[in-house]
Amino acid sequence: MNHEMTPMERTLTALRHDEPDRVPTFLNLTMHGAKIQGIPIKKYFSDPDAIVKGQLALGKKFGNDCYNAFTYSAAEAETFGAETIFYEDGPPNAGRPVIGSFSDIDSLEVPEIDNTRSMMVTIEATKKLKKEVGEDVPIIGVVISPFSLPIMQMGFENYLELMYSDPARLRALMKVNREFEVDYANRQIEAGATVIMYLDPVSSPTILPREKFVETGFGVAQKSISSIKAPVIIHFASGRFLPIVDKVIEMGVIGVGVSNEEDLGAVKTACGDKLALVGNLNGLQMPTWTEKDVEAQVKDAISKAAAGGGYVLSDNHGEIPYQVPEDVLGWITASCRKYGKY
Amino acid sequence: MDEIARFKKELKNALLQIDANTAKDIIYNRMADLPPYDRVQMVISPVLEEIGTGWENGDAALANLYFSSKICEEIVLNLLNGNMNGKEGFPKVAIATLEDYHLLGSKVVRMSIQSTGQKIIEYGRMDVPGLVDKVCDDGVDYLLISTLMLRSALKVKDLREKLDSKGCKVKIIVGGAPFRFDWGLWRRVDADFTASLPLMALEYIKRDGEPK
Repeated sequence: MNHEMTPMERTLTALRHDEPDRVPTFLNLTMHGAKIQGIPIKKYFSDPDAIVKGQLALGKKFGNDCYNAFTYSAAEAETFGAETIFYEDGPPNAGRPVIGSFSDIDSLEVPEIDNTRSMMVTIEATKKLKKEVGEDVPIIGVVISPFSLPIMQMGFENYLELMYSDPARLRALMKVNREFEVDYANRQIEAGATVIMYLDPVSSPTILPREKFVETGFGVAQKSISSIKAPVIIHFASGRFLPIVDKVIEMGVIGVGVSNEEDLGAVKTACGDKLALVGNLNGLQMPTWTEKDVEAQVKDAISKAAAGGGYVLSDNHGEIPYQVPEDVLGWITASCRKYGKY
Repeated sequence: MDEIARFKKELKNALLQIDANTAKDIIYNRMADLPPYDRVQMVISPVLEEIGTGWENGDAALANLYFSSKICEEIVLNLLNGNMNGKEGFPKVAIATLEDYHLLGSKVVRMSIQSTGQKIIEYGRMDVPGLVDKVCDDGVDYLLISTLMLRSALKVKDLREKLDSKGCKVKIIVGGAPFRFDWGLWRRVDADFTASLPLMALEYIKRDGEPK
């Protein structure tokens, strides 16, 4: 490879299962955008200009191969009326669920994205980022899958109970959530997102047995993904997926986020050229990594997954914790440049 | 296969199928010849442990663990008729979720531990100052902490300091995703132990209470 590719060329080449100049790196950084500017997380997530400034500063500092305007998962539940609790040193949490009883689902309506500030922040930030970076750097749009959103809408325990006891209301909830999330994904694409990261932890066999996923989450994912007007990467947010790899291939996604609980080599063998792999550095261990640790982790991941393309070095969860020091982020991209050349 | 092994196999199948009626029939009727506490110790506890280990190894799902522990807790509470803690005296144990609003983890822990016949106080979502007061006032011996986010997991260090400064001699056992994905974290936050499964915490408590 003679010339250095742009991050967009590098990423698209890898996602096509060809070998780019080097392995692309997706540092999924959200809260670090606030940290680098010295502003509170809540303020950062409410200001599209701050997000753009933060993303560009992070990209410049670490040589990241993507940008994202994602704020926080609870923003999508906020749209349905849920409260969000902000912290100074971590991701906002969804507060008390809005669906108190199963019958509340009967009157649930698809919210208007334009009327929800938290959604519009991401859409506006995506537009502004696109204006800044054009076709040079991919912008990752993010949606919570309709099937995983109910954890925040009604609480995890109640959602499991609904799934196993009230299939009619589960279908009704999925219909509302699907319409909302597909619309939100497509609005991000119109704004300039290159690819959509579809976060679906509940579909992981870590959470649901395969047969229940096939009966429920699989159909939701397949229908949703076919309506999203850009390539989709599914992410199980640290959950395993090998026991459902055949169904993930059927979903129509181009790639998958890999948990560090699964061996990247085994995942590469199982996915072949059907799915590109994104992962699987352990984000929760990153706060204590030394430069040597980083080199060892990056080398190991690249040796297992990079051959033939179809691989993006990234974390295993889809978001790097606030506590990860800047040095570690710099060592990750530097190691990838050193060991990820094709 | 002996009778107990057969009961265990059938109970496990029933639990994985979320078939509460079959599970109740096995414990209440088909094992009626055995004293209640023996049914708990010889069949229910090992089966729940197997399902938990299966989840850890990727052979079972969290939904399996949730429904199994829910069914078993109901069976055991009924079977022991409020006579928790079985044949032996047991220290005071409590569980809390530190700051997060997702309470599934601590509920699974409560249900699993009570399924073994051991009582546990469930505090729900707590912040550090509130939890310190509760634990000291209640004279808790072992405090189980469930966390989902790294920031909450790091608060355990603060919790430990505040409990120590109040002279509250409680042992802290931590669990949840941050500790499962970073096996060194429990030591860095000054916890006494980490358990990736509820019954591992119980095992630690039993071992810790034995004469050294």
